[in-house]
Amino acid sequence: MKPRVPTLPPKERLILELLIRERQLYGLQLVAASGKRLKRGTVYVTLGRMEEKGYIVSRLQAAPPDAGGLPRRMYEATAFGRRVLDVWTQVAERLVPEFAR
Amino acid sequence: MRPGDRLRRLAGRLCSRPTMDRLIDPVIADIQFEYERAVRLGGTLRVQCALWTGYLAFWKVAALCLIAWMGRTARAATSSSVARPVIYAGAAMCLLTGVLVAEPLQHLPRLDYGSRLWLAVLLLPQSLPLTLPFGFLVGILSALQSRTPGMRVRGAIVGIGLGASLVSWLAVAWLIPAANQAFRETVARRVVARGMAEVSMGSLRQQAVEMRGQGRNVQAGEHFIAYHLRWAFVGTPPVFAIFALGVVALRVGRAATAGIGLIGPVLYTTYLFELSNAEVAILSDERIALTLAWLPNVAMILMSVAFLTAERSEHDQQPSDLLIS
Repeated sequence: MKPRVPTLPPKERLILELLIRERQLYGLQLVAASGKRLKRGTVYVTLGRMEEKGYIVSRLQAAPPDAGGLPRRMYEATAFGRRVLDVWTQVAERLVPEFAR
Repeated sequence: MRPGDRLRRLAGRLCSRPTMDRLIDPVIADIQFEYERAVRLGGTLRVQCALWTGYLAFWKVAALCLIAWMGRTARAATSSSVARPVIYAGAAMCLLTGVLVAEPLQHLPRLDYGSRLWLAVLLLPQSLPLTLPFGFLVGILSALQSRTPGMRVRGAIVGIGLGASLVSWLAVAWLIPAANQAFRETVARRVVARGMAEVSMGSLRQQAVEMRGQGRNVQAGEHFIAYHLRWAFVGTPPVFAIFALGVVALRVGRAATAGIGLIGPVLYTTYLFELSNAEVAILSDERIALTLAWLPNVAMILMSVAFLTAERSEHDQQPSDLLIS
């Protein structure tokens, strides 16, 4: 099978940037940190797709005992995700110099 | 019970494990987390706002899951060899039904929207005996023109054709007479006596026999031919399906396939319509009416058998024979 070239749409790039900056975040924290660029109803679809691509990993974190509720999923960038973001940023800087500014 | 628990249970019945883990559970966890935080901070409005924003996010995710599932299902269906012609046939049927329903509606006097909609519904059954066979024909020709269907696919298509015959029979025997009568009464806005197209199959034959007994042979012929044509139309879907499979088997190129595939059935339909308008006493002999009504079905089956046999003999030919020839 032909190997697929990794792609990085703008929303995935934003998520990777946020996760690299903050180390790990919940979905809702990502939405809050994105300044309304990520939406609560679609962020998990994007995160799921990124997990499939291997850009991020997630683990369940149990809710505090006094709060109860379902365990929340915490997301973190993988080494591959960091490398993809690096390469993507370099390419973008070379092709579109304004991107670097 | 915490907020979102019921939605999670419902989603658990419909969604796969990965979808639950990656999409549904995180959204529900957010609803519960936000709710707990709003309760701790206090204020009914804050709590309600947290709940409704969470539910809205849940339904957005659910809608996205549904769209993704529909996309996957459609891709899987169109790549399956049996489903492909059926989907194409369905699309052709819808298109043809639209044309057949829209045409008579245009010639009606000005009516309000509700009456027009009701009349369109009443016209649907009478389009079925035509849309089913023609839909099959167009569907099979367009879906299989560049493929060689195996025996399993052919068997399934003929089986679906027989199922369509059953639907056609229900339409011809009950739905069409009832819908036609309702249509006429809606347009006339009064009770109208049933005509030949509005009586059931049993009554039609009964009337034909009575008319012949009274010596009204021309009218008896009209009734006999109408009766047997209804049966012939019931048999059309599998006949057209087999004919389309036969034309596909010829492998004569796209334009020729479309030409042969459409000319045959158009001639067939023209013949049946001409026959239905025939006013000749000879048709009061039921055997003649039966033979004339079923003649095109038999002719098309014979042609299909010839096409399929030609394909088989081509397959049976050895490579050495081809070299010699």
